[in-house]
Amino acid sequence: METLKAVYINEIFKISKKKKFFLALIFSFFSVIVAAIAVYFLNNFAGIRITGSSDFSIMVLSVLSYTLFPLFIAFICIDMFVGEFVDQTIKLTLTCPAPRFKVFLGKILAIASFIMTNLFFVMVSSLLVSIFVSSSMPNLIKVFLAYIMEFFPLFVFALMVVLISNIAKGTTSAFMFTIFIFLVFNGLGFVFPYFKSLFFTSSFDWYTLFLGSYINSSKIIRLFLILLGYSIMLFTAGYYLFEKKDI
Amino acid sequence: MKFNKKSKIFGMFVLGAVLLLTSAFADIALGSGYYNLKTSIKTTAAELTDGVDNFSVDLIATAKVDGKVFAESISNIKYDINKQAIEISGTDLQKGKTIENYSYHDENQRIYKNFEDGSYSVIERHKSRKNDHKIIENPFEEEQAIDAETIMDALVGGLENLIQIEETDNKKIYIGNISDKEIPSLVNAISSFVFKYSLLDEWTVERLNIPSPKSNIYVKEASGKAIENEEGILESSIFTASMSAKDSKGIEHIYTVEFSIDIKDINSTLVSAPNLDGKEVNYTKEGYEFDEKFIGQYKSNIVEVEGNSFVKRGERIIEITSVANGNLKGSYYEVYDDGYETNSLGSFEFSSNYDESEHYTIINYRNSKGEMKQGVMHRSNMQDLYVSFGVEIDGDGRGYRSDISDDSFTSEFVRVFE
Repeated sequence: METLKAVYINEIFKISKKKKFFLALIFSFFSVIVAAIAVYFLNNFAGIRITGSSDFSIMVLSVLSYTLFPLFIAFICIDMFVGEFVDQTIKLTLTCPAPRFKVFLGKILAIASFIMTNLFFVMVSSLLVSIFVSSSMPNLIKVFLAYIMEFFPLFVFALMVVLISNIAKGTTSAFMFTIFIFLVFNGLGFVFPYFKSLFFTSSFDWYTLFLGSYINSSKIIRLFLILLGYSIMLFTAGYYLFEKKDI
Repeated sequence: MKFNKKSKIFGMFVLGAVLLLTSAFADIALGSGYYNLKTSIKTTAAELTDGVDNFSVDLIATAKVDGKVFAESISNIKYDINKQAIEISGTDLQKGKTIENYSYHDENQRIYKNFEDGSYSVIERHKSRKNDHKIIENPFEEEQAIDAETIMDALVGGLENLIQIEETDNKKIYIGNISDKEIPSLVNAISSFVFKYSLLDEWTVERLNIPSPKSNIYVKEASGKAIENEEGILESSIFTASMSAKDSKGIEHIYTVEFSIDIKDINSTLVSAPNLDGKEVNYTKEGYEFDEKFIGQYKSNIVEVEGNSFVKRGERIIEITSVANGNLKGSYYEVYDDGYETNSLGSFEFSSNYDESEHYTIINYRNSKGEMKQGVMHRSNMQDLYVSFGVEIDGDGRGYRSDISDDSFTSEFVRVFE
């Protein structure tokens, strides 16, 4: 446990030193500001309340969950795996007494922490901004719940990028392949909506299941099990490749 | 029994795959309320267009502002699929005035009632009309509908789970409610935009005498309920949607639309033409564009540009000499100044056969080279003609194009009154 903790702290330290981490936060914040300006102008000049009575934070989540969140998750994951193999810094980590499973788990936990931090940062900034653009008081519980739920599909996406990073030889190919898979999964979900449960990207808006007056619990359980199944598959496949990889 | 690391990894991977596939296929098999409702709508459309002999539909559409009705349409439509007959009766309410309407259509005639004087108009259908148009078509068999369905499925997204299904007495009840808190921003923005700029634009607002939506427009709520009977047909459906908006004075108004559709009397609906005995009836034949009052002379000037002015060089003249049962006879000739040379059509006699086209009057003539040609003649304004010569009729008989490219030829022929 101590080893895992040490690996995790080391990985968190590395992430916090990356420019991409701050870029993710800065871009996320500016996205919130741009969304607020768009909402303000649409309401004041076109007369359309784009967010209706729903929360501004939920609107921001619905946009970022398909754009900035996956983009920066892909950057961080590729950097932490294929990036470290390319610039040989992985040697420092793997020559430590920690077994490879704990190194892999530590990295995954650090990525999970990054996703949570990004979600939390956007939630707080959008709630603060919503004071200026929304006429009604946001439903804090539902907003909090929506951001928590969004963690799960984003985490599955991160595990997919980790798997790709352990297959790819370079950062560019890993990034391009990630984009390709992301677009293919979304495209398949669009073309074959009846079978979209098979594609985890269709769960990126599953937090809406928690927002309505009618909570479809069986649907929530089914989607959770699908995401869990994906997580187990991608985690084990990713770890298998990481374990086999030569320095 | 001891497992090595590779077996453990493989075992975990298989566990994840089993979990994923069983959950995903269970989800696909169970479907959502939206997909079940969509299947039910398709079944209803297929049954009503091909599976039953006759049925009735009660249709009510109401529009309200702040709970007060400003427009309403109530219709009872009876369909007889075997006889290809349809009977529509109903009322329309607009600006506090109720207007009744009644019509009956079958393969041979169309009948309309004029409620102001109680008279009827009977239009005999054109003999050459091809009876390949059904009175009711299944919209889901159209190619456009298939594409629209794919786009709709994608746009519905997470909203598909809002529709719940309840089952009582072998009937399925679909219920869906969405409040302002649940409506996605994109749906809200598009709906509000369409509402302000398309549905209730300035002209419509003024015509209906209702408050104009100016600001703070958003979807307030939407709800619907549909009942599917034992045969899988949606026998009753209601839908309500409300928008909130402020007018130019900043006063908030709630705009509501309500739709109700009831399908009833399946295979027990009687559709029959109204009894016209003792009633005032105006009989006309479909496609009778011309009658005796069109006998006479029509002229079109031959004009050319000289310097910077228009100069009249002559006239093209059409004389209609007889009109009987929609069949025309007449002649065409040109008179122009001495020495003027033009792309003359020559002079010829023409005639038309009413049964030749259901869409327009085709005139047949022999040109100066002795070739048989066709032209198309329409009414223009109240008393004039619009004529095209040397036309080629499209295969389906709906369109045509003229081979005359002479700039000095104008198709408008004005009636000459001596």
